[in-house]
Order: sequence, then structure tokens, then C-alpha cells
Amino acid sequence: MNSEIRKIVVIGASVSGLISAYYLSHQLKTSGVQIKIISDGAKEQQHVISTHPSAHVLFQTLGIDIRQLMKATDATFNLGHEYIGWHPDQDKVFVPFTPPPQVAAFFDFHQFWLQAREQDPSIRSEDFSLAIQAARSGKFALPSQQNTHPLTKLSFGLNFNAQKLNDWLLSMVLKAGVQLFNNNIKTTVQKDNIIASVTLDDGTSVDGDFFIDCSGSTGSVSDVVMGPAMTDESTNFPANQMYRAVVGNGDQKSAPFVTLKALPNGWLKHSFLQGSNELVFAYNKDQINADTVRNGMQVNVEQDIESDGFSDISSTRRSKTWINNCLALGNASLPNPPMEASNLTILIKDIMRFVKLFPSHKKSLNAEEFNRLTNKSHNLIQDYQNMPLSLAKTERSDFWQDANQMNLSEDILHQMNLFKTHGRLAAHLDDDLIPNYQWVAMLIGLGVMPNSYHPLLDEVAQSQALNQIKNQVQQLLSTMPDHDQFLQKFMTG
Amino acid sequence: MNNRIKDIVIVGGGSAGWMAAAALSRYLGKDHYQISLIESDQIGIVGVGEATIPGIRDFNQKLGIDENEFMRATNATYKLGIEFNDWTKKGDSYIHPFSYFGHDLNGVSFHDYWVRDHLNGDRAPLSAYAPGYMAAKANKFAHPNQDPKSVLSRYFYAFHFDASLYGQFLRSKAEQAGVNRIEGKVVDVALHENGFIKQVELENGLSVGGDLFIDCSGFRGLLIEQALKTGYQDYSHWLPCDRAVAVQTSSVEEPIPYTQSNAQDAGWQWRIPLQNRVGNGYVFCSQYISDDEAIECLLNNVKGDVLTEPRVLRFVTGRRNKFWHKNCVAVGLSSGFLEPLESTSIHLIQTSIMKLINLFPNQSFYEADICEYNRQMTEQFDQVKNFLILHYKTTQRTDTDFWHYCKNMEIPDDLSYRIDLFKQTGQIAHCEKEIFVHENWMAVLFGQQLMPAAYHPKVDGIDSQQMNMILQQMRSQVAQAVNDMPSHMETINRFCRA
Repeated sequence: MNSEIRKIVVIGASVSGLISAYYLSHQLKTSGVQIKIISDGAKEQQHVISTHPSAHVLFQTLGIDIRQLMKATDATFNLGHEYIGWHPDQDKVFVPFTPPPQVAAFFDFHQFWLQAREQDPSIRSEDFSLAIQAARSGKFALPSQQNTHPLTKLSFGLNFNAQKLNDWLLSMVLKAGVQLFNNNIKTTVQKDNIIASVTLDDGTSVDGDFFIDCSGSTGSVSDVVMGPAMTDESTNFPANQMYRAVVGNGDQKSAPFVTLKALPNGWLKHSFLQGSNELVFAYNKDQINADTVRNGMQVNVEQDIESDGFSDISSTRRSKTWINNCLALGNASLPNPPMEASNLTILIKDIMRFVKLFPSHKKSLNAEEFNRLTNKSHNLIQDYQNMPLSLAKTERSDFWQDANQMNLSEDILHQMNLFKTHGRLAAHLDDDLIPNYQWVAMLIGLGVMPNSYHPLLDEVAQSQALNQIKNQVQQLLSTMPDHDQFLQKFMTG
Repeated sequence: MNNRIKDIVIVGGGSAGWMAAAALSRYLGKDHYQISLIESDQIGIVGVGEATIPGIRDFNQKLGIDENEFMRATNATYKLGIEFNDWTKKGDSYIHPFSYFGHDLNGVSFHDYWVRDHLNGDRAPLSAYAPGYMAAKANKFAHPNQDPKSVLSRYFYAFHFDASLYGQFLRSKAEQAGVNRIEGKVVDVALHENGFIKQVELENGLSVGGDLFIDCSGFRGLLIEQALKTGYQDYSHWLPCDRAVAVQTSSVEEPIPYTQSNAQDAGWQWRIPLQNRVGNGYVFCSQYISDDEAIECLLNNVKGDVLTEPRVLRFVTGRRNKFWHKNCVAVGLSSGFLEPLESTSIHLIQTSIMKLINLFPNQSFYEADICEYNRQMTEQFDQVKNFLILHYKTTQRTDTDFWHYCKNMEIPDDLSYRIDLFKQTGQIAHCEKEIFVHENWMAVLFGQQLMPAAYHPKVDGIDSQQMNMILQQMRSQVAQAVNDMPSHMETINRFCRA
């Protein structure tokens, strides 16, 4: 055995910590690595936790039965995000996980849409996406024997009940032989910036060769090695508080997508589970007080609020998340605004990257490689999240004025400028978390329209393709069941 | 909305010019565009017999070219990789194949398994796991298949061909598609007030105007540099070779399915086997040997009869500051020069053209498009540059001043980081949509005798005995597949004899 990392200590038994512990155990147990987890008072901040399609790889690797998991966690399917009221050009902008249909090789779908629009400005690109039509009609299905058509290959994320997911993961983690310490951490013992152990509130010392901080709180273990995470002053994120309210679904059907609605003083994220749904309002606590927010929410929802709570939206970020034998993940590494890419999605990518770069020593050059790739990925996600705030054209309130003042990065400015010419995108910003077709949907939805379509598109043989696709979408849509119906059937196998 | 440009003028023939003409005429219809190519029979084409990398097959496919027809027309042979001799020490030899090595297992790169085994005393070489490598060594060639379960889907191929014949082959395609060839020599370039190129003036008095100009005029860079003064970045401190002498020789044996790169006292010698003759050349640094010494060395190290007069070419390794400037795009030698150590010249031409088609302009010539193009091309050039420097920097030779320089020179930070990372942890730094990816770096890092000090800890999770069995099975699958392949010559005879 050539590695000196034999014991890993995970801090924070939230979903983040538990998934990390579970994945690490699965990947490293046979190599003789022991995993321990310390709860450190971690609590689920939200009712709903969402994942991106890329998380399926993790589930598959872990041999997780999705049906079982969805059943245990009141889960629903998620086809994408709909931005409502962010820009006058398009009141509802759907950003789907599913790529658009292919009309011809070499040219992206939206080029054909742009071209068709010149003849008929009423042509809407959503009509060609089965994912968007299904989502808005409250329908969902997976490819089946009856439906093998390529358009039915929908990409989806999952929405989980956070507490139930936590319970489920905890049982899996314990079954996997991970040792759990249900305590808070009092002190961290380090020498030369290498952590030797942590001492718990009951005096127990937990030693380890590597420490993974999923706790998200300040004054945490990662602060000891890395110093406090810094606030990026230059971006001035407009929201610093979240208020979440959970209501029962009642007669309401669970929607297979998430909405992000622009309101006068912030935005409202709405996600569904089986049986309940969660509304999260992001705002600036210096602009409105808690009571106003609470009352405002109650006035706007029909059902009674079953539970609610306030939490901070952190603004801190680390450009280096792995130093020596300490790794900061999730909320300990970057801000957690309630927007598209959840911190769980990002954490899953980060922990998988960590295992790929698993070190043999407490000081490893792999940390530099990890930080290089992770920083790039986090930058891209932050840029993508800042973009709609900066470009929103909605209320003239203080909140939105602040939002519009946000600085956009060089990369985003380049992306916008490039898209504005002929609807093309920067090669270096194409990422599996934010693929090109998502950039397209967002940019168009925020009023960034190309001057004209690709100059060489007219050279491609014209076909009836667009109309055909539209008809196919309608036809397939009519055969799809209700999301709730599909869920029931799916979970009973 | 019609804001299209209309006239595309390509200055210069050769592979660059005719590849541009053939590709552009495929994507730009005759109804809307007029493509002209200006070349002079007077100006010699560099044509030294070309080796390529697998991307050329995509290019040919996009152009609707039949592979066998193309191979027949260009005297081509198949290429499975490049053999590097004497680069680390005299006597050392390895192939950089277009091939996977083994299979990744449990999300861990194959080479980590091999490293552990190697550290435990197992002597099976890494090459035994790469079907492309083993086929090359055995002088075999069979077309790979698409079956993911078969070892025959784990390698790729490219070609050696006569570049001037390729140019001619493409010329007939291009002319059929409506490209207008103009015989003539450009002697002057006229600009609009805004600095854009208005027209080129020929020796015979003819003027050719255009909206978009493609500069394929070679090292001169008639348009991009002489007219538009774009500027050049010199890379010679990292890649000191500045001359090449080339000669063709007769074949004395059946052609082998790989290029050879043999290190010499002040550079390296290439050997490119075509169907019925061989291209040879010595890329060298004039600071360390004279032209005559280089010619002598080259002639002493070729087999067969010398068929042509040795010609010495001079070059400055580097690249243009911008590849696309105003309404002029530099393709081929006018865009920059990186020695053909990894057969990248044709690929860079191909890439320049396809990226232009991707980012094709209309009359607005938006700065954002030009900026994106330059960013993408700069990235490509940088990757190749670093990959080439790797070969030189990791030498252990100090027997001549040239090699002593290479061994000790400063290198770009990015490359230095990659080498350190590999040496310390065995990780190959992540490659972003590059021309050279994980497998390529693996082949050269190991080939150049770098051995990681560690392997991925997950490897220890597999029992040694079990691992031995898996590795043995992999080796025999590769050996069996190669054994069953026909010889290189047999495959040529069967599909594409010139």
C-alpha cells in the first residue's frame, strides 16, 4: 500500500457530508481506507434538495436503485428551470436539461429557429422541445418499448425531500461501515497546516489523515487550515437572506420542473415533491424585514404554511478548496443562492473529482490540479448565476437596481458579444453542467438576441424538418402520462 | 436578412490553399459565394511528404472524399503512430501510437495499474496493452472497427501522403465545386481606408478584389504580415531548430505503418514512407551545425537511392499574433510554424479552416467572432507547442551542445506543471478539448522515460493475483488481434494501391 491516507474524517452529516462519506467509502474501502463522519450540528437548510442530470453517474456508480430512493424521499422528476418575469422580451423562459433536436449536422438547432423566425416571427423555439412541452403540461415519461423515438430521451434531475434523503443516506452510510460521531467539534489540532485530529465537545479526539469539511459554517475546520473564505466584494450579490415555506400539495399536481419567479424585492424559487412543495424567497434583509416577508408569503399561497425558516445566503468563496490534508466542499467552498445549480450538484462533481485525484500523501500536488479544475468550474457556475440578475429588466426596486449593478465577468461579456453577432458560443465555456443549449435559452430569455443567424445556414439544404419536429413533439406529448401518474407507476416498478 | 459577403480570395496553393478551397466550397454554395484561388506555378510548394494525425479522416469525410480513392491518388500509406528513436538516450526507442493503452478500471486510468505492477517488478511493457502500438511494431495494418467490446476499436489511424498530390487531388474537387483558379503571382496588396484588404495585384497586371482573404502564401505571409503587419511571436527559445533539409529516396523494403523521428546531434530526422518512395528530412538548429554538415548527416542516414536534390528550408518557430486580422485569415505556414515532430502541420491547417467555417462572418466582420477565432487558434497552437517542447525538455542526453541546451532550457509554466504533476503523483493534468489528450500525453511521458513516484491509491483495492490475470488477458487479447491482422502492404494492396 503506497498511500499514507488511511483514515478520512468527514465533517458535517448533512446530505453533502453523507453523500461524500458514502461515495468515499464505496470507492476506497477495498483499498483499506477507513471513513469517519462527525455530525457537527449540521442541519438541512432546505426542504427540497435538487440534483442535476450529471448526478446520475454517481447514483449508478453507487448501485443506488433510483426507484427505492425516490420512494423513500418523496422525490419528483425535474425537467429544468423556468424563469418567470425576469425580462419583458420573454415572460417565461424555460431552460431545459434536455438538448434540442438535431435538424442537420454542424449547425445548432437554434440557428434553424432564428432562420425560420425571419419568415415567421411567431415561431417559438419551445414548440420543438418535448421536454418543455411536457414540463408545462405537467407530464413526464421515460423512453419505453412504446416510445423509442429519440425525442423521448429526456434529461432530468431529481428533487428530494432533504430530511428524508438525509435519513436514507445515513442508513446507507452506517451500513457501509462508516463510523458516526454525533457531536459538535470543539477544536482542531494541526501542525504546520496539516490537521492531525479534531476534538469533540465531549472530549473525544478523532484522528485522521485527511479531513473533508462539508459543514458549511464559519469558524469551521477548513478555516483553520485555509483561513476564512472571502467575500468577493466586486460582485456585490444582491440577496443575503432566504425565507423558505413548505406547503402541502393538496389537490395541486406536482410540477416536473422548478420555477424562479422575479418579484418586486427578490426572487422566488418553487420546487415540488410528492405531497408537498417548497417556496424559497431570496432577498436583502436590509431592505425588508422578516415579518413582511412571512406575511407576504402567506398572502400569496393558498394552503397553510406547514413549516418555515430563515437562513443566510452566504457570499463567501474559496479559490483553493484543497490545501494539504483538508478539503472544503459544498457551502464551505462557495455561495448557495437558491438558483439553478444547487450546491449538491456542484459537490457531487467535486467529490468525484477528488476521488479521481485521490492523494497518496498529506501534501500532494494533486491538490493543485484539483484546485485548478474546481476553481474554473465554480467560476463558470457563479458567472452563470450572476448573469440573469445582472441582465434582468423587471421592477425598479432597490433590489433589482443592485442586481443590475452586478459586474459581469470577462467570460460572460465575451459570451454575450459573441452570441449577439450570429448566435454562436465560446468554445471554452461549454461545460456539461452548463451546455451550450442552456446558454442559448438563458441569453435569448434575457433579451440577448443575435443580429442574424449563422451566415452559412442558407447554404444548407432546406427541409420540412422544423414542422416535422413540431408535429412529432405534439404527437409524443399526447401519449405521455401525468407526472404524478408516471411517478406512482415508476415507483411500484 | 442578406448581409452576406460574396468573394473569397485564397492566396497560395499547396495543401493549405487547396484544403481551404475544397472545404470552403463544400460549405459555401455557388449561388451566393465566389471562391478564387491564386497560385503561381513559379513559386515552389514546400511539399516534403506529409505525415498526419487521425483528424484528417474527419476532414476528408466532411468533404465527401472516398478514402481509398484519396490514398491511391496521393501515394499514401497508413499511419499508426510515430516512433521516436534516441530521444532520451541513444538506443532508446518508443512509439507514440494513435491508440488506447489497456482499459480504465473503476474510474482509474490504466497506467496507474501498470505503474504499480512495474514498481512490483513486472516487466511487461506498457506497449503490450496498446493494439495500435503492437500492430505498428509488427508492420501490420487492419482498419479498426466500432465494436466497443473489441480490441480493434481501441486504436485509430492517419496517413502518410505526398502533399503536393493531395493538393492536386483537392484542387480537382474544389474546381468541380466552382472554385476559380487564377494563375499569377501576387506583387502588391491594396487596402481600404479602414485597413481591410481591398484587392491583391498580380505580376501580370490583374487585380483580384475580395471580401475575405485567406492567406496561404507560406512563411512570407504576404497578406497577414507584409500587408497587415500583424506581428509574430518567436518560440525559438523553446524550440531552437530553425532549418530543415529534405530529400526523397527510393523504397528498399515494404513501407512501415508509422513515421520515424530519429534524434540527431543537433535536431532530429524524419522518415515518412509512401507507397513507392520515402520522404526524409533533418530538422536542425543552425547554431550548432552548418547546412553542409546537416546534409551530410541526412545522406548518411537514409536507405535507398537519393532521388532529389537536398533542399534546405529556413524557418522561425512561432506564430502570428493574430490568426484572423481584419478581413484576412492566415492558414498554414503564414499563420505560424511548429516543427512537424508530431505531424501537426496539416491538422493545424484543417483546424484553421473548420473554425473559420464555424465562425464565418458576414459583411459586419464582428470583432467578437474574430476574437473567439483567435482565442481558439491560440489555444491549439499553445497545446502543440507545449507537447513538442516536452519531447526536448525530457531528454537525458548531454552528448552535444544542442541536447545540453534542450535539457536545461526554461519551459512554459503550464508544461512544467504537467511534468511535475506526472512525476510526483502519476496524474496526467486534465486536457481541455485539446488536440493532444490523455492517451497522447501518457504515451510520450512514459516513452520519454518519466516514471511516476506514485500510483492511484484505488489500485491497491484490487488483489494482485486478480490484477495479474486481468493484465495477462489484456495482453493476450492485443497480441491475438495483432496476430490476426494482415500486413501493412497486404492492406494497401487490397484497398488502395497507387
